[in-house]
Amino acid sequence: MLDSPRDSAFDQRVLDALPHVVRFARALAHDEALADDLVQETYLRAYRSWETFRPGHDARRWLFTICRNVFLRHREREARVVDTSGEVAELESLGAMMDIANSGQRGEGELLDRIEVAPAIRAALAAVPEVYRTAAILVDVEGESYEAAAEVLGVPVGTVRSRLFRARRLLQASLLTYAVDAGIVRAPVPPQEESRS
Amino acid sequence: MTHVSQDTPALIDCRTAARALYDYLDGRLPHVSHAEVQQHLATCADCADHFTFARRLLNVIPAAFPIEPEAQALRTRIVAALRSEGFSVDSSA
Repeated sequence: MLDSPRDSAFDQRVLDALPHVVRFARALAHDEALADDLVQETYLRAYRSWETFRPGHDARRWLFTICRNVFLRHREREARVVDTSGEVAELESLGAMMDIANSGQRGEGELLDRIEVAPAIRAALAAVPEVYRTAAILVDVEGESYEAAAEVLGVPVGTVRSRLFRARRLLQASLLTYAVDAGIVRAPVPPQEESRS
Repeated sequence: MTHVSQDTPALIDCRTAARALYDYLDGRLPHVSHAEVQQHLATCADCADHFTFARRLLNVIPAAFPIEPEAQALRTRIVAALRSEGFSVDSSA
């Protein structure tokens, strides 16, 4: 059977991106079986809508967009989380950020040397709500620019920045909790108790 | 943490530095100049430690999600599914 030009183009542009789509899906779903299903569904949808792919555009980002949409269909409840990714959320995050900064006195600097980092990061990122997690996956895992992430997510660059801020803050907080629970660093001391001691 | 250094007053305080953390690390500073943050970090050890931690964390995140060597079983499964949709390229290998 002769390869059709359409299918040859799909093979070269889209199937070659498979390893990246697999990584994106696994980071998003934190479940290998679900991620593989997402990837298969992503490729089926991409094949069916290949005519809508604009030549010259980045096939990987196009696939990330489709994959995220497929994932959101699996997680519709989470997708309905109110997006508070604007300036208010950013300001709300600052208080927690300052708490984390304070943790320098409790061994934060050594945290990354004292935990098994990769599984801790995977678990911590999985706990971040999807709306923020995807921004972190695109920028911090896939190495996309803010602008490319905005294209994938269909949001302004400023929204990517806000979501990324919150995702990273939540990731740090989650890692710190992990380390406290594991007895690696000391638990936070409320300021009033600290001043009494 | 000292929010404003007692010895050498910084141009910005810790809160402003915390707000600028990721813009600083990502090389995008819309509000606070790179030099101002650097000056704050030079005078605030706690913020400097935290920025170092955040930078290290961002650097190790990609390694937590390695690119798998070609997932052959998954590729074969996907190509088979695509074939059922009419895909004609022998791309399973």
